[in-house]
Amino acid sequence: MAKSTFSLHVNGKRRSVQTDPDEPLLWVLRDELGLTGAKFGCGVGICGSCSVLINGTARRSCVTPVVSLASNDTIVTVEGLARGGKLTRLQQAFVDHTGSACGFCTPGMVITATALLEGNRRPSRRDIVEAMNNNLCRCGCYNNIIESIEGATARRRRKRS
Amino acid sequence: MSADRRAFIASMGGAFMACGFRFVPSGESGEQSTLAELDDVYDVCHFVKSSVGYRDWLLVGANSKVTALTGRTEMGQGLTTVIVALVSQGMGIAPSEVQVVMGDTELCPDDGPTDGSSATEQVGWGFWKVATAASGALRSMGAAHLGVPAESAEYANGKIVSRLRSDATVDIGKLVRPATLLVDVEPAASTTLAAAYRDLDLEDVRAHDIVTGAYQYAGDLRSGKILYGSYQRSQYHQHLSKLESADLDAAKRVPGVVKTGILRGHPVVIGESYEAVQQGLLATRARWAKPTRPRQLRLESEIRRGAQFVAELENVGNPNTEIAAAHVRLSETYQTHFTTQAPLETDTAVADADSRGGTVWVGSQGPFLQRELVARRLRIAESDVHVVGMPVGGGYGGKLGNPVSAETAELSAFAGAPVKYVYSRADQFLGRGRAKEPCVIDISTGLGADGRIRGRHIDIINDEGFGTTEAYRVPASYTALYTAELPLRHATIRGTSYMQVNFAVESHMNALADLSGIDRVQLRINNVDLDAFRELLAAGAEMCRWNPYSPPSDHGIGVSLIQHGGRELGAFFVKVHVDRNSGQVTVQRVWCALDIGTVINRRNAIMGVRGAIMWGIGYCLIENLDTDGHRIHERTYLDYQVPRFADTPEIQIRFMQPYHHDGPRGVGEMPSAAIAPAVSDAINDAVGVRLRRTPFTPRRVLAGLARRATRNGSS
Repeated sequence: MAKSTFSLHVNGKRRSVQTDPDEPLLWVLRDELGLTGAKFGCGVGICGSCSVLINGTARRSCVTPVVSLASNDTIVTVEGLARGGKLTRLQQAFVDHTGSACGFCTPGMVITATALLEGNRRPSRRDIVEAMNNNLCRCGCYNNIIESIEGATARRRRKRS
Repeated sequence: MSADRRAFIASMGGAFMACGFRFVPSGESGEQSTLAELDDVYDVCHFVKSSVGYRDWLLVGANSKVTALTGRTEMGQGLTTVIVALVSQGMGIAPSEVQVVMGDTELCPDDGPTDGSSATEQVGWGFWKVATAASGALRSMGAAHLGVPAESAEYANGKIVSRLRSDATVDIGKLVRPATLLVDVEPAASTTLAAAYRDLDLEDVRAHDIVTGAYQYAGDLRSGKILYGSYQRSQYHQHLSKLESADLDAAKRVPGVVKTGILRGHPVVIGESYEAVQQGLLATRARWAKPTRPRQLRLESEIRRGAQFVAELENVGNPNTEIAAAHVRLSETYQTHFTTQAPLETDTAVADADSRGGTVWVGSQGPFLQRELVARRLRIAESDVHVVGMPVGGGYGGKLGNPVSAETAELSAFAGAPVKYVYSRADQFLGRGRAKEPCVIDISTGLGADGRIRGRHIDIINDEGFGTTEAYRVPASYTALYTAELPLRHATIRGTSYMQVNFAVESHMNALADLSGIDRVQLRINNVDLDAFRELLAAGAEMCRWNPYSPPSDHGIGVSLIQHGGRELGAFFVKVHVDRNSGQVTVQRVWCALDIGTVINRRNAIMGVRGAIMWGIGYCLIENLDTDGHRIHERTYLDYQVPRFADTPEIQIRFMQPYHHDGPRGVGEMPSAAIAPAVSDAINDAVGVRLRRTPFTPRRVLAGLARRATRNGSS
């Protein structure tokens, strides 16, 4: 198929890319826009390493053809979370609670957990397991990731009180 | 690359001094020579590497930053942080003053591959020696500069100061000159680390980059135009595959495909993007000869078939006589299954190579081994190949001798351009022809009336040769190793085959306890060969409130012991729930008491133990590679299930005072081998079914319950 031009709104910036309409967003981000935070893990939307936020919802970029995106869709990758070099509470909690081992799944975990906390500011452990269960961490850091997410909400609670 | 070199030298304040160390016996130290004035960091490192005996070195920058170099790579066990912690404390500088360069075959020493069991131990100990030696060398240089006795000089905050004269101080930056020092020093005594080291609970030095997406793996490298490339894999095991024919015409017409061909009996496609290459592979019509290995590999008889004696691993006393004369005798057979690593980062490399040599960037546990494989594949000298080991996105033993660097270098030479090769998930299953091997283990033990083991006989079929690692004193013992003729080659997967053998030995101990009416913990206390194990068992039993006389319910607690490498010791207690209707087993809690030597970084150690426990759960309850004599059937993470959040138990860990007191140990493997026997024991504790074959699938649990019901009905 011939290449087309797409206008995407990524991490607060308007970006224009020329690509095959069927090209998965993952490879557009990685190869066209230089945003390599989202990882290729399985290519079929199972592992969650490629997760990005599209209009605030965590989506699998490896199975999201660029043609399926509207030009006003807001895309946020893991690179777009921190503002002015300051980590989000959740990112900081991943640092504080050693929420990664090899780190390959972490961008997808952070993105999926960011979406979770947007919709549920005080998730229970069960809520966390349910929301995160389709993101795989092969190093087996699940307890550390759960503690990271709980840590971000605890920090929130402390701040409020 | 020159930009990289400039950036590297800039990170050291624009100039640096190399300190290479040779460790010599007591009384022979003190030699220090300045041998070269080289300013290119690669030239300097090459010089130290080629100076006989000077295997370890540090670079001290004009900005007083210290660069530690190792040929090992970071695969998630926190090695970078371990090195920062040890070098900063060994030298007396702030952790932020230490940077670590890993896995670059031109810069770094070939100090061994990266594994989960010994990398921390060897790197930890090595860098403690180097750091204390470097501190000594800088103190003596500073003392000479200040004209004070060397003994009075101290190194603190980037300065050498004299205890004798408060005005005598010199910045390290002033001492640094473009020189290479070769220093002969006595190694720090093995007890100094355990005595002097304090765990400052550093956060992982990589963490900030990881959570912001800045941390780069091989697949994240981008500079200029890099093409994508791939081999087409046969559905059959790689070493049994033979290409009969290939039609690449349709692949050539796929938009974005720039070149196709046949390399080493495999169709290959080069394209402008990952997707173009995948489309090209789909369009390739290849026929592969079907290997003549028809049989399935699930049955014990199939593993036993063709078993050939390899070696006696142990032969002490007359075990068969002792077993025959024993108070209680038990003979059992255990069997394990195929599993694979399935790392989230598929095998990935970037190569810029031609027939004369080149550079490969690869996420690898063994960059030097990869260099050897590239050289062999391109038929050139190793010195013409530069491998840059990148952080590994999950290795677990699978990214040591894997072919991806050699394949990518070959694809780059074929394309005449830099090429990135990212294995598809299907290729990750197909592309290696290796798996954790299924073993059949026959084990017989005789127990005396005093509750002590009198004799034991073990035959291990299809083990890769590491034998037993258990914890008991067995006065008469025979262990033999046999090979089996299986189509897949052995793979080390978060531990060697001691995982299989420990499953048999520890499960057998639990069965023996039941048969003899002795509490499972007590039987172990009677028979362990180190007091340390008694302490670990007591601690674990206390943590889980061990009650050998708990009433039967659908919940049960199981126990196992493990020792690895003679030094990493652990007692594990696992609580499971068994659903009698579905046969589903859920691990709810794990308690473990561990002796892993000096804990260098507690938070990383905890993470490593937890991860290894998840691997143990995956091994015995979830993972199961479906293969036969021809091929592996899995293509995705739906076919090959791995542990998930919902499979995660609550885990309590207690690190005990080290028994041996001689430095750090690896912890990334040992717990994984302790889980299967403890889970099997817990299932028995819950519902009275003892499973001797992994994995413990619902079907096997239900079959065990049915057998039990029949037995109880007929008695």
